[in-house]
Amino acid sequence: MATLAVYCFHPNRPPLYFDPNRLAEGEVELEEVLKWMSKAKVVWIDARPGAKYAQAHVEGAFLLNEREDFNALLLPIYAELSNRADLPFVVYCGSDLCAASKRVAGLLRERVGIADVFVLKGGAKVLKEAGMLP
Amino acid sequence: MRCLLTFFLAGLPLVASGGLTFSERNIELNSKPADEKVSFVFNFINDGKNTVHIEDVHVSCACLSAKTDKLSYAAGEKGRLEAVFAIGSFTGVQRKTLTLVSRDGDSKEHERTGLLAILNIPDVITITPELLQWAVGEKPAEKAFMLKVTHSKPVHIKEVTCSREGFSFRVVEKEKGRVYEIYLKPQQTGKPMLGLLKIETDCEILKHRRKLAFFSIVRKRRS
Repeated sequence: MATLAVYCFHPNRPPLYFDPNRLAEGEVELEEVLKWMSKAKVVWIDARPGAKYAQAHVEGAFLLNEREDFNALLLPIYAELSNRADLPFVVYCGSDLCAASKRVAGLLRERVGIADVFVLKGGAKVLKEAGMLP
Repeated sequence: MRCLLTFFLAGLPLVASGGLTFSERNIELNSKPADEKVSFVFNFINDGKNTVHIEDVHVSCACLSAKTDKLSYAAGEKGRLEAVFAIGSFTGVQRKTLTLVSRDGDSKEHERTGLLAILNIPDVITITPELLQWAVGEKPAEKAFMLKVTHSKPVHIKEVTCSREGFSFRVVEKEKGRVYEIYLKPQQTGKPMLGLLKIETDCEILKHRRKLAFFSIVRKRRS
């Protein structure tokens, strides 16, 4: 009861509702990525399982995930990624419900050292809606 | 209005799971270093009056697969939700959620039961820091990775290779088979670049045999 009372009267209480349109830290909407792509290149990273990637992926996307061996997936593409490290990296997985894109983005940022890594809000779902994935 | 919502939510039962009662909703497991997969089971019983139909099982990660042993459970019947976690390159503590979607008797309402699996996955070799960095223009001083073997058996470094020219490195054995320092030095820090050291070891577990240590020269960010 005390907790509820404090919540009700606290001036900086967080909202109790979930706002699906709010961007989390490090997230980007497809509309914004398309603006970037109209001016320069973007490096797409597909964080879904390899089987999904093999079925279809955004043109030019690289496969990287933790479900399979991250290092083994990274090594053959590392030279290409490191040569493009000054470009924005956009990571996607299945939808907002999967955490794989956030985890891969974190690894690229904190472990591999790529500066600008973003998670695509909505993931493959919005890419399909935009016709960028079948 | 928000206060009313708060009191309404507080008054709801914490979990609504229809006729199914789980013996445990949270499972904690420890995998072994060589494990590729971990299997676990959530046991439940239908202690309602109606047959419960399983509609779906949602998992929070593509690394997880799960299914029940049957699709319908009569009143009083016991059941199992069997799940398999593919470890891949995950290490540390992993929290994965599963949601069992069921339907009670002829009801059209779906019940959702949240379950949690906490998996402790040991890493047999750790490298700190994960990333060595120099700022552009910084003095090209030597910096070091520390490689520690946490596996029960000793692991030795067999070979180290660098993906970039213009860097020199040396390996110092601090404690044989247990602790190594790998010193790395750029010739110059004039422009940004990324690179990695590929560290080959004699670890008996194939998936842990090769380790990567990353380094970069980065532009200073404006504060």
